Amino acid sequence: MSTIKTVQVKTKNKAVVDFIKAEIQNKKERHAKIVESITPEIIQNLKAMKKIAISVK
Amino acid sequence: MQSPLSRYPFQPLGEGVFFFVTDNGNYFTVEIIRNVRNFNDNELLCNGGNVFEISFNQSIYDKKQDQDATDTLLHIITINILASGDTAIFYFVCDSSDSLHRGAARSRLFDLWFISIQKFTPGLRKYNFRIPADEDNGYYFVCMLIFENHPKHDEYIKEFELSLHKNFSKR
Repeated sequence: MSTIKTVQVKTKNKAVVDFIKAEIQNKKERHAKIVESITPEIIQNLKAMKKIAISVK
Repeated sequence: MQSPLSRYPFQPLGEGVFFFVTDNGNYFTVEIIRNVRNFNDNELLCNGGNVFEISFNQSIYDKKQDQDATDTLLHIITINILASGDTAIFYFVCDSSDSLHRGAARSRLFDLWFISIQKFTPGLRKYNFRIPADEDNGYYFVCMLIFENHPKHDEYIKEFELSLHKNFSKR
């Protein structure tokens, strides 16, 4: 059994296309909001964790 | 949070939301969120609420590939798939807002990534639904990940395809 299959949707459907476009836009807006919520402390903590990880290797 | 596969430490920001920053200051956000709102009218597609949407974004579009960032992204996706169990279903809408051509390229890239994910989830299968666009001769891609031993595997794929022919969303 192949593990990746392609299913061709033959019908052009404006409602489906509009839905996909809206989903892509919603996704962009959600991710932009996540980035807005990132504080400098979170960045500093992640960078510090990376340094610790490198030092214990 | 870090593991041998995760090259950058990442921070959970809420249920199914993750963040990491790369050495060159690129911010990556990853979402693996329970999302059945698109299937509200269809009990089979809702899968008992066990459907997750995968999405991610980066703050800088960098043509140079950062393998450490890819490894971290795949690690986050893989651990979430493993934690969700064999009956969970995942879908991913390929971004094609820049062009349909790039959307198709992202779908092919996700095929390659899937092979890496599958090393840890051997029963997982990937379905790429190619949906004709209303402009040009291109396609939109919606990808689905489902385990082959899901009790309704075949029914689910057929119903999902049928919903794309009819009307994906009846919100």
